[in-house]
Amino acid sequence: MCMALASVLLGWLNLDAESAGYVWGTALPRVLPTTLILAVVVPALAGVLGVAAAWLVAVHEFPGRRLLEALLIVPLAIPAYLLATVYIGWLDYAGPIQTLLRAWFGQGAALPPIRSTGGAAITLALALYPYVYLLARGAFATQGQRALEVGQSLGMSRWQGFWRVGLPLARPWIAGGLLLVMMETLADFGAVAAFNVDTLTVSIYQAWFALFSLPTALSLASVLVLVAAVVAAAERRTRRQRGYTAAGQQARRVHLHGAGAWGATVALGTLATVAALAPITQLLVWAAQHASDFDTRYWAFASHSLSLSAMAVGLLLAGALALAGLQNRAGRAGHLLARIAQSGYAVPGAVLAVALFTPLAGLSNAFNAATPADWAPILLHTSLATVLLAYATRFMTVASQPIEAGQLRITPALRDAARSLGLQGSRLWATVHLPLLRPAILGAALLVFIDVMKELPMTLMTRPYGWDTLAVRVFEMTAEGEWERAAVPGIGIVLLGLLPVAWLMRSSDPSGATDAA
Amino acid sequence: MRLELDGVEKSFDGKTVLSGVTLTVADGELACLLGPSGCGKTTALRLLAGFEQIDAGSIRGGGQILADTQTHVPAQRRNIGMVFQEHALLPHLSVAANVALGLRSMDAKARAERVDETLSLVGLTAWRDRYPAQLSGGQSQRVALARSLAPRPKALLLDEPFSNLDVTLKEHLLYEVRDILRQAGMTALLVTHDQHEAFALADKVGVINAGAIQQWATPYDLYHRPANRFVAGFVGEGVLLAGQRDADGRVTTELGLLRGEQVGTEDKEVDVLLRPDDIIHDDASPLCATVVRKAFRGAQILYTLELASGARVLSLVPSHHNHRMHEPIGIRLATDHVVAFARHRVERG
Repeated sequence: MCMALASVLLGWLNLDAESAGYVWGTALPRVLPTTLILAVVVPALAGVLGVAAAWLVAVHEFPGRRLLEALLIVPLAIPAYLLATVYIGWLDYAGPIQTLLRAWFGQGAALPPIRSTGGAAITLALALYPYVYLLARGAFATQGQRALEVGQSLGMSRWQGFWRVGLPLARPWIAGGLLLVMMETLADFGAVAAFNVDTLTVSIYQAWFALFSLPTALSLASVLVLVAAVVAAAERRTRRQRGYTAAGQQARRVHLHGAGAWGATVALGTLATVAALAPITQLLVWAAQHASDFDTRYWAFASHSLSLSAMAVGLLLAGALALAGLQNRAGRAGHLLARIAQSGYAVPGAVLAVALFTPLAGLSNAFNAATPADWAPILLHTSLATVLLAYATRFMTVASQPIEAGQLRITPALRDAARSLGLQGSRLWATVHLPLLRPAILGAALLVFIDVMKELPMTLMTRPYGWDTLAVRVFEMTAEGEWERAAVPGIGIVLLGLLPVAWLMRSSDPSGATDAA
Repeated sequence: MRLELDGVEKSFDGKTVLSGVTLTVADGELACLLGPSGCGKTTALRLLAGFEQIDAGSIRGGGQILADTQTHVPAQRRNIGMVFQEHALLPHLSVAANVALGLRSMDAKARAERVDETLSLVGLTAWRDRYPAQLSGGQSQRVALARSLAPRPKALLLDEPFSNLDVTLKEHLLYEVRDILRQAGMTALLVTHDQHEAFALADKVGVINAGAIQQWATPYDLYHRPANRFVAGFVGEGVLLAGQRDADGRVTTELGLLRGEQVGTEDKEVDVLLRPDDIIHDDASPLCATVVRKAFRGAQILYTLELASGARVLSLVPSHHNHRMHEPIGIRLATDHVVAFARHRVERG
């Protein structure tokens, strides 16, 4: 991570006057406002969707609750760029919905253009709200009911109890989810590019591919890192000082009746349909229409995607747990190290790839030059190890956020109790921390698996020759403008991504254990 | 506010938790539901609070129906406060803001006054700007109490509020809480498994087991006039000793004739309850028993003594009478109440 950061910062040193003028005079004034608008609007929308859905399913009972609770996680398996294609396909001027509107209401009938900042914001929010939903649902499931009771005993309605007690108690989790959404938004390239919305990431690509100026791209990337670092620091500041321990056990669900019950079912059903069911159906239809594309190469794409994801999960979980342990012991230094390790999430994948690519390529060249000519040349910059290093740099936050939030539940008293029983070091970890962190670890593993499955630019740039994955295949298709044919590998990503989602829904259903109370 | 439960039934998933619970807490009375864990006492409290709906019977507050088979007044409109076991303070709010949570309808000035007033009632005025994480266990308990008292509820429910506190603190806090509640003229119902809490705080105690009230009485009567074997065993220490009733209705055991007020069954063959204070150590007594266990309690020693028949009794003796194990010591009876239960019939609680 430090290497990548240094590489990004060194970009400023190599920046010549002309490029600097482009960065300050042209690129930043144009893209910074859009980027910041998206960075605020997307988490806001995703937060409303995620928190409202989590509160409904975690605390209430209504028709279809169990099914919806599971379906609402499904968008996690759909990359934002795939969702963007589907929505553009539907809502663009030539798409079926606008065509239908014109047929009904005449030529003047039109929706606001989907290829706009607003369209991008809504799409990203629908793709990213599950981050908030998952974390908030966990918090509400353990303490939402008690929060309502505290509120009611003080004369508050359920609504007031939610606002004044339930929501504040779940704050560390919701903030963690919002932070993830904001970082995903800042780093997104595929979706905003599809919407023709210029953000910092787009300008970085442009600087790179259009201006061929790596220093310009790296300078712009450093602005992005700075924005994300400010966000992360601000969030952490608000969380400090407020010691938190889970407030009692879950009691019984609030049974909704009549209009309320059906309202909840319809609202969440609509969300699940718009964000997951309908897009997946559309991708399936497109894929079926281009089924002739499918051949044996796809098994290799799929197995590459799967094995890379599995290796990344192992590596990142080990790293995140080590960081968590470090923060417990090493105090300020440990916290600083953790912050640095987690900051990679804000760096767009492609920039990170180049930031790692540059020094590793230099290292390889130096090594190859120093060794006899008949030695096989090493290619550090395009090896599986580099791909994994890039993942580890980029996705450390994804793995360590849930684990850090989970650690808030391990109270000092619990830790001290275990210590007093003579447990220390690895035994303490194995008997206290690991079992209590298990749900958090499962959640972290799932998020990493899916993120790596969807990841495109870093895989594209640092993979060894021939290691094409499903995401790379999607990219090749879309690069040729074959959006509908991209659905063939696209649906593969979605279906493979659904496996861990299904597993997570079964193994860590927070409602299962509490229903019997 | 007078609280009444009448024939209240509740089951969860077909499992009966409360069956026919009837009790009355008079206005301004401090009452307690005492029972082992899983006996249904917390469910009774939650029904009163309005967090659960009753299956049958009725619940009244100040004569008004709060819940019956047709009605269910929502918890937030019952005007009944609740103190939770884990205090459930909001970690992101200061002490004052936590206490102000239930005071939404007041204007800012009245609210600040009420917060100050309540905090001074629980003696935490100096802590008003602290956060829950900075409080000790006893302090957070008092904040939780202040928070539920601030909106002037008509009754207060306390769900095992002292169970997370250490004994010394608990002892101190118990009397403090009682005084605070008395001063506020509050009708309160406490739920606990700890009889010392119940006795220290409550005017009336309901012993509850297996979903039914076993006895609703003053602490004195629970101890000296237990209604059944469960209450006799659950409240205080004691043993049951076989005895026979003579023609005059008096009960004789192997320790001799028992004197005192007759309580319970009039059967011939009975088991009588003997408390540790019913058996007095007396070196001059001809009656002897062997020390088989001793528990030092500071001012007193609780001796377990074996009689000639092999039956065992308890005796509480001033601790300067320090006898060795297996030593025969003289004892005599000093009963005020003769509590008799029918022999061989195991009453189900």
